Amino acid sequence: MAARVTEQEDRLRFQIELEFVQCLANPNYLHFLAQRGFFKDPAFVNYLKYLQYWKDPPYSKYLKYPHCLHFLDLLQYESFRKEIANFQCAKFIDDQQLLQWQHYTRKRIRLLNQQAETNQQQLQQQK
Amino acid sequence: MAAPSTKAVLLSLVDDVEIITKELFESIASSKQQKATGLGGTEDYHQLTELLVQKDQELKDALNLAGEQAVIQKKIDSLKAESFKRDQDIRKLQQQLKEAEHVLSTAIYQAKQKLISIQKATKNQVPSEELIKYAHRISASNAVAAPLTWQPGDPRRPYPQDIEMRLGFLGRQSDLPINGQMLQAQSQASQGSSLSWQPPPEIAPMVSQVAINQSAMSVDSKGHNKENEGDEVEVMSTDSSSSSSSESG
Repeated sequence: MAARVTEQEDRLRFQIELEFVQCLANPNYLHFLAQRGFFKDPAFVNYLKYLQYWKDPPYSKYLKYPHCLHFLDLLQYESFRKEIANFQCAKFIDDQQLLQWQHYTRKRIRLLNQQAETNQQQLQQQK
Repeated sequence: MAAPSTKAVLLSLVDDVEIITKELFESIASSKQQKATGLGGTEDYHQLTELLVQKDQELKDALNLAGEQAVIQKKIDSLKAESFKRDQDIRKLQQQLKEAEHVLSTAIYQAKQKLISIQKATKNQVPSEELIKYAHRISASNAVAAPLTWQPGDPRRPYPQDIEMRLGFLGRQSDLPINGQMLQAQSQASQGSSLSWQPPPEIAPMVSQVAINQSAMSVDSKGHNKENEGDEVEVMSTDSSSSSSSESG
């Protein structure tokens, strides 16, 4: 009985941490956390450090928003934790993220085409 | 070189011979004038001739020596030329060795980098199937690339939004109000700003609680997160929910 309870707890903890680490992909949420002073709490900073285990492949495969790991990396720096409290900064990051998100498909197609062209040129040169 | 050079020896010998010859001729000329003396003159001639012969012998020896030295000098010259050639060969070889060293060091550097990446790859092996599955998952929910029809003003975003946070386990943990009315009233009262995104005041304190209580739990492997993500996807976009829910089923 006790084992089942702990298993449930473990499962819940996994889900909560999975959810939270992905919430970090939201710059508005980071801005909100910074404004409320959570990033000044050493316990919270330690928690952010601990969350880095999501970068390990066995865990990272459950992430739906992989770029949250980048924000997790940035949050390890005190300067970023301070700066994100600035609304302009959060807004800028949000905008850039949206632009990247919006144009990523086109950008990727362009990159693929470029690579294909260079490959073809190399083949021709070899001939 | 304390000893005089062969050239100097030869020159002095030639000078000597010249002086002796002059003397000889002078004595011959003078002997013609005073024939009376007779005997004393022949004695003089004899001595001078002997001296001349001796000097001639010395001259011949010196010439022989000079010949030998010339041969030796030739040998030295040829050896010098040879050593100069060898020096240049060595220099060329050195240059080639340096080039080879450079090439090898870059090759070693690249090989080391390759080895590192190989080690990394063998350490973190990911089956291709899983990779493809993951790629499908993140692209089906438009988490990394926007849907082609996305326009500015579309509420869809590449990150979990307020409502999704509320619907998730974090939100349920602290019994957040899911209907937006109460929340809106709250945030308007507390913030009163023109933020497009309403921060959920209850999530954050609860998160820090999780952080503090984390030692009580241990990390479990895969849970029902897919189901959970399915919820999020349905909220986020309608066109991608079908693919995600079929995956979680």
